[in-house]
Amino acid sequence: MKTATVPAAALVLAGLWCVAQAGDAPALAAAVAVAAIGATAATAILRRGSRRLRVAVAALSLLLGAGLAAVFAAPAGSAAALAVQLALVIVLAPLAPLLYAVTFAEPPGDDP
Amino acid sequence: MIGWLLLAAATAALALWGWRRSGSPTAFFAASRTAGPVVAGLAGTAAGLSAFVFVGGPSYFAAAGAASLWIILSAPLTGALQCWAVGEPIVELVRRHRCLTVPELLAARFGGGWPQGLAALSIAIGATATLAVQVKGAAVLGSALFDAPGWLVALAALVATVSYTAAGGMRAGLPAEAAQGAIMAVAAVAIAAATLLHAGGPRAAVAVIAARRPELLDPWGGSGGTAAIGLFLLFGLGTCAQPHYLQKFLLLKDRESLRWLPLVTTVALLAILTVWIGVGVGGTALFLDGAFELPSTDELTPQVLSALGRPWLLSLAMVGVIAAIMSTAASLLNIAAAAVTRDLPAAVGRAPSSGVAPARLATVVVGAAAAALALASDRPVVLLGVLGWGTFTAALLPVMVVGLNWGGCSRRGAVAALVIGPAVQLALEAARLAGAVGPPWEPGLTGAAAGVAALVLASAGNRPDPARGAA
Repeated sequence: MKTATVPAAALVLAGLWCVAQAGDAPALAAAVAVAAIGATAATAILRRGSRRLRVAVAALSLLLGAGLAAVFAAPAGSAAALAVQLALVIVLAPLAPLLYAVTFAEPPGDDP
Repeated sequence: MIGWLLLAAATAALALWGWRRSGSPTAFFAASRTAGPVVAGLAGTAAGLSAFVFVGGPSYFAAAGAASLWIILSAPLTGALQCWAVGEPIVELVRRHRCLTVPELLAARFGGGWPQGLAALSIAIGATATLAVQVKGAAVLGSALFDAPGWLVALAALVATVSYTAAGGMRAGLPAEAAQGAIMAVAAVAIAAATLLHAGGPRAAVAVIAARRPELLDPWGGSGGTAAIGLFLLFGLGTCAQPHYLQKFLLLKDRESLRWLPLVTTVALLAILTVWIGVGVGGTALFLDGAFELPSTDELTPQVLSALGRPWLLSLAMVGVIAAIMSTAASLLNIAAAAVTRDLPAAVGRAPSSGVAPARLATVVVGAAAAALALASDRPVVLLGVLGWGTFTAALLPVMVVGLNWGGCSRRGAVAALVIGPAVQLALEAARLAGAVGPPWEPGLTGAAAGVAALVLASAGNRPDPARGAA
């Protein structure tokens, strides 16, 4: 894949991460983290862009984003914040590997 | 004593078994590509998780509370993320070029010379330093858990690991790591469950913490939200750049093995990480309830095991800790030996040896160097510790994730990333130690960000080699 999508996305995310650190901006840092993890997973879409794979990567990214937003929303110093952190693990743990297995495919034109 | 004798006997048998089956570089460095998803998943998890999980993780919870959990919250994603971003390209490069090491992957993608040499250099230094930290950790744990001189425990674990790794390479290391991963999972779940039960269950334990030290339930902790998210991202993306993790993709017997690898990895990873949460939450609650004294949070796990009063749990913990140390050490020894005897000579134009005798010797030398570093002094080990996870992330994340997946990435871009990434990371680590940079700045991630920028900018305008392209 030689499009400008990969380098442009990588450059923007790298820059935004530095901005988030320089400004000590947790919300921006969380947004960049979700986008970076989504973009890293999405590299597989460049090789085999099936609809199922796109949906799987988007679903994981959305769930991760929602989970991090819920941690931000939970009252600090409460059991609720810890519960949200653990819920993030409990929801994503079976989902991510199963989505990988379901969307796994031989690349097109793969020789045996 | 019986345990140590059993360890010696098992080591001797494994070394002999491995020696007979590791006569070729493919057997020594890639376990003859025999790994299926279960073995590779267990081995990869065991290699990636050190004894820190059993002792340092719970202690970190006692000190930093829920903020410490950001290190492990990415665990459910990392198996799938690794396979999507780097596992599939690596398996494809192995199919085309029969690569045996991570630097060879970069040579296949970007050409030999500098990319292979720089990657080998960072792996050789980083793996030896990380191994030294393991040895040092074993010495600390030895005195805390084993009622024996720490250096003796560390030396015994290292000698056993070096013996079978030097004799059999990954041919012996792979099944050993898989078994060690299973042992670690059983030990972690048992210790976590026993601790939480002793504390009255998870709800009761959290209620005690909420009542006595509510600040420990703050998910962001004293360093703030940006630093916490930085840890999450460092350990989430960083798994795509750890050579002892990536090595497992080189050992797979076929591409189909990738399908269930994330599931095995995730189950094993989460089972082992229960000890972090279980002993962290339960042990902290027990301490706050006055079940035991805690002179230092570092002593949480030994104190919990003592308070539980079950000798079999202490034995299980000791076996789990030894398994964690040995599994991580074996992979580090092998990748460092490969870097020294295979990749660095290839990078300067010398053909690598067709036999494995130099690699066996290098394994012993790397083990001895790590032991000398670890036992000589505290300070160098602490300083060299920064050359571990963060340096691998800064050096290898840009080339592995962007470089392998973007056909426009040039050789010049790869070299720039391999130089600038770790340079920025080490400069930031030094600035942090000097107090010049605050917690929001995560050195490993910032180094990787700089490496990505260098890779993209140095590749701009370059015409990629059409014969290579993305994996």
